[in-house]
Amino acid sequence: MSDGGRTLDGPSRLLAVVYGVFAISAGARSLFQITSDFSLAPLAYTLSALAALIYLLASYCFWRPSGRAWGLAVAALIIELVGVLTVGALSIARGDLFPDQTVWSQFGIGYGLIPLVLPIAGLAWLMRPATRQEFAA
Amino acid sequence: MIPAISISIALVLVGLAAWGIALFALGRAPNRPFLVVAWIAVMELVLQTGAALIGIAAGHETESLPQFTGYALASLVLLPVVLRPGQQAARTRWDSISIGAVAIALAIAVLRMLSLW
Repeated sequence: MSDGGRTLDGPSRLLAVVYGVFAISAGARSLFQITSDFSLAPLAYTLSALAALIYLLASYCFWRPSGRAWGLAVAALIIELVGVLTVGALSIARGDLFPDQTVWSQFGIGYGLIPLVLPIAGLAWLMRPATRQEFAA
Repeated sequence: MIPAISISIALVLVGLAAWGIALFALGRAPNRPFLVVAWIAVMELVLQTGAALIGIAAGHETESLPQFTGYALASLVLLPVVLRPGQQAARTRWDSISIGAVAIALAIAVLRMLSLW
């Protein structure tokens, strides 16, 4: 962190907020799933927990920008995009692998496809040279 | 939780979200009336969550306590975080849309809490 209290204006702030909301939502869901009956769908529940951690990391990086945070955010969003595309496709083609829903099932249709749109929008924003400069400033 | 009160809180949050989106579309930062309503929503959420937690402590059983707790935590924390108290001068139109986005999420959270109750 280059500045302990610095936050960015613009879409970075909105992305931080939306990722924060999803971190809490996916985290509460995975906590419920894991504590209620983990053996029912261990892969799906583990993925829900992983999604929550990625959302939390992305939210923090957008909220507290720095050069390092930019790199972490890009990595988190790439993992998220690969996750939502892979799990989304597998949940349709091989539904037996996912006896219960994850936030990424059917490309996030249960959350209005926001899990699919978020990493694309986030990466598009992060890849702007001006955004990278703002993070590093 | 009392359904009529929870639904009225959800409606206030939906109204706040619409207001935030409108301010963003007009290119305006949160104004004083908007912030007053937002802090009223915070107080409503605190009172509702406090009453729910007292009910749980008194023996009420929710459908899923971990999930209910997650929503309760979100309803207490999210709005004060995005309202950024004490930073009026630094607020921009992006604060308006951020508050609006959180208000939508909290309206859903309140209704989910009610369904779990």
